[in-house]
Amino acid sequence: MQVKNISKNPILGIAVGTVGELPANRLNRIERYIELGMFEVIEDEKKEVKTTEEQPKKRTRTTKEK
Amino acid sequence: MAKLKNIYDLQSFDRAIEQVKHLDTAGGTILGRNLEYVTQEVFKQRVAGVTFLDSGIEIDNSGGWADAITKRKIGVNGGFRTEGDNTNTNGKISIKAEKDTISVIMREASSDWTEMQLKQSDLEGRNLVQDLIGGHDQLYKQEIDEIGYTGGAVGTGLLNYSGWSSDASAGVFSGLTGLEMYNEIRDIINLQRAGVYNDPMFSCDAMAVHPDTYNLLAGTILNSAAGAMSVLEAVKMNLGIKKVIVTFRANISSVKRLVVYSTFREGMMMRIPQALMVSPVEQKGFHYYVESLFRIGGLDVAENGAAYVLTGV
Repeated sequence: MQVKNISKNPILGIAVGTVGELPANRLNRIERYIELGMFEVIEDEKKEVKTTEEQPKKRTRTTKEK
Repeated sequence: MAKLKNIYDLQSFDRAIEQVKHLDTAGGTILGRNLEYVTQEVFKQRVAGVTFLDSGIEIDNSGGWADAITKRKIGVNGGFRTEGDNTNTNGKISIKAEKDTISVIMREASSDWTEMQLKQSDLEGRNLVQDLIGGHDQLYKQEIDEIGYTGGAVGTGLLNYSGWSSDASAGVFSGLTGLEMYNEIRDIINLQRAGVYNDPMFSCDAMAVHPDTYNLLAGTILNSAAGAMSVLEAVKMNLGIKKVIVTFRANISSVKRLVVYSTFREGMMMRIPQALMVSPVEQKGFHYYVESLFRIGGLDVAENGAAYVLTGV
């Protein structure tokens, strides 16, 4: 689980203000860390890819000089 | 026939009534104040938890009147090379140096009194000057306590220094069993010692706790089936914690914490470049005046791994 250290001290090797992996033996304490304002869980941002319909290129009219 | 004046000395009654008129107690000839005994002993207001001076952390007085104190640390870099190794960078041994500076602040206070106050306190059996200078000393110790533990006027201290690593307890200690409390403390001690490779200079040998935490640790039996050993005794005996100091300051923003730390000066020390000094008493007419001052830098940390914080206890 990716967490961000929002406390004033390094926690379990994760420096203040940085994101790191919460050790497996501490996963069951995540609620406690959040309650004490030590870690913030980083959720994977789901990047939605916007599909755009391809539109036919507009033809530019050119006026021929007579 | 017996008359009243024959069986009572009425004049004595009159005299008694006359005397009562001059007394300030209501309805009696005995003064309330005559029944009041003023003890010679004067009690002093106790101040809770001035324990930092007993923390085992060394107090360093070097620096005198300087505005800042810089400490230097050197280490060795590089290493040997195998014969025939022609790489330029191999086989060189050099010295790396680090320095760190902390600023020093001055704290001062004054007291004044008059001849009348001096004489009146003398009548009460008190020594006013001694009390006042004793007051300076008491508040000085309180300031050292605050600055040592939480930084006070100089920033941070043993309990809230931002360089210490920290972890959270699985739960508040009042909700844990004796064994769970012991395991929490064991884990934090192991983390601290692992962080300094069990170097005896930096490995924790002391612990600072809140009074509530201390009472829980001292009053909870680790395993009632196995004997009467308390959690605190087990921590001291099994984990090599030689000193446990109790401070009400181990409660920061309503969250209690526990700090394990090394008392060696290589890890940290308390900087008081100028210890408390009291000026000569100055007299002007019937007025007296005295000043005191000290200069303090606070907790000077040389090794961030020298302590570890367990919060949420």
